[in-house]
Amino acid sequence: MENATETVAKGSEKDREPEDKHEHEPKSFEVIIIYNGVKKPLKVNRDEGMKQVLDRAIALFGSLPNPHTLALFTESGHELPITGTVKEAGLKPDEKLLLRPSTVRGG
Amino acid sequence: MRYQISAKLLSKTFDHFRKCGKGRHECQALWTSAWRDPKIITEVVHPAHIADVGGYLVDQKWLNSFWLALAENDRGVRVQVHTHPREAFHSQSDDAFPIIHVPGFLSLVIPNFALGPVGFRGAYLTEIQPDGRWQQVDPNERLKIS
Repeated sequence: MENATETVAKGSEKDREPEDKHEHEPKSFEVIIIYNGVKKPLKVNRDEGMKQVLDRAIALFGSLPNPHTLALFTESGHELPITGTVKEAGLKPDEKLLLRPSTVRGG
Repeated sequence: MRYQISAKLLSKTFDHFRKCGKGRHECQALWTSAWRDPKIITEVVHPAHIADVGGYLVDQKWLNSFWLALAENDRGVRVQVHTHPREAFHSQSDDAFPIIHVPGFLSLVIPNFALGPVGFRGAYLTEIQPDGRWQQVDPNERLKIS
């Protein structure tokens, strides 16, 4: 069952653009965080760490239990890393980021 | 919050479980409603998933598309529903990997692969508490069939 998850994640990494394409973009900008159908803007800084972005994205929606189960995904389904910076992750102004569980399963 | 679901949507949920699970595999469905009127469940969604007799895994690509569709249509998931082969309860996997993890979110487990009567007989309903733990609740206190 785990293989299906890995295949999707690897297949979408090519969607991200190289960081040097963002040289002329503003130092800070807004992205749109989506959780359970609700959209909220989040201002990010290009030098900000992605773990901090994730933590702030989660905080937008209140005190969510078990935040470690959540991650940020692009519209194409690429899971963003929690290491590195916004610049390195290739985030763009007004980009939609999906805050959702990495895995949904039961048994 | 007490959600209302029509007998038709409840029946449709059982239909999904029976057709997909065929009495051999677990299956999941999601009850959604509009954010402008969250109490009224108006849609049952059948996620793309793989499953066997002891569990299910929702497809990542489907989940991403569904997340975007919820936002586009101003809707949210209120209850996740899935089947068990025999007795209904919440397993460790059910506790750890729900689709929504906010206080008040409900998870309903239907026994016997949903092959029994349509309704909540033998079902197990649990709710996420503010501290993140799940606590069993009475289906009739949280769900009203209209």
